[in-house]
Amino acid sequence: MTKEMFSEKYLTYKVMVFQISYAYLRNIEDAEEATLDSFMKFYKSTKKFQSVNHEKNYLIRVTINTAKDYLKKIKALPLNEEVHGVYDDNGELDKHYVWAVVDELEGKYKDVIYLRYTADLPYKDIASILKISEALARKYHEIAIKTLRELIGGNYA
Amino acid sequence: MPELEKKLHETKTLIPEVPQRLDIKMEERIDGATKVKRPLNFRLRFVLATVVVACVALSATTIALFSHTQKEQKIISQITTV
Repeated sequence: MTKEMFSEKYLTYKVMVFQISYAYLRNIEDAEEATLDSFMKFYKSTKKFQSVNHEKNYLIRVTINTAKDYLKKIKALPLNEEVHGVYDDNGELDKHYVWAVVDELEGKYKDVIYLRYTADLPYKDIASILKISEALARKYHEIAIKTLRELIGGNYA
Repeated sequence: MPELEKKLHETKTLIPEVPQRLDIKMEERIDGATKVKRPLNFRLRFVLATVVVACVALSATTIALFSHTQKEQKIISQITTV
């Protein structure tokens, strides 16, 4: 890949890669390093891609694996100090709390949630990235949502 | 869309903007990677060329020595038969 080609792809995907990295790591510095590492792996890759979508999915897979490697190094996510309770001042479900509950999910369910709601990907792409069937991706999403409802409790159970 | 799914979508707003320094860092890393690549390639080419030249020289010497020994042996055997 030439430097020019890479620059174009970097500009197209940098926000998405950073957002996925941040969702896993919850820390700007770590997300930044994971983003840089993911792009470097992508740059050095000699893989041939059948389509733009195939290339994008490959980059997302690299990003997830890189973020997970960082997660192993740092061992624990930083405490979310923004969490003050289940509901915010408007009486709605608090977003920080929702994120804290997502952290409680098992890895494969967390992957589906991040890919679906952070990267806004359709099930077909989620399945391709996680190397599972589309039906299984839907099933994982269903289980993740059910588990989240149980963990949140109250009106959501 | 159910409220939980809506809230999950909204969690995206908790992600900060991409830091501006990321672009500079990325450029530095790419430049670093290409700078490291060039001397390595050059070095590799140089080593390969040296190995090829050495191999050719070695085979030429072996052939020359071998043919010389063969000639000597031929002459000796001719003298002994005469």
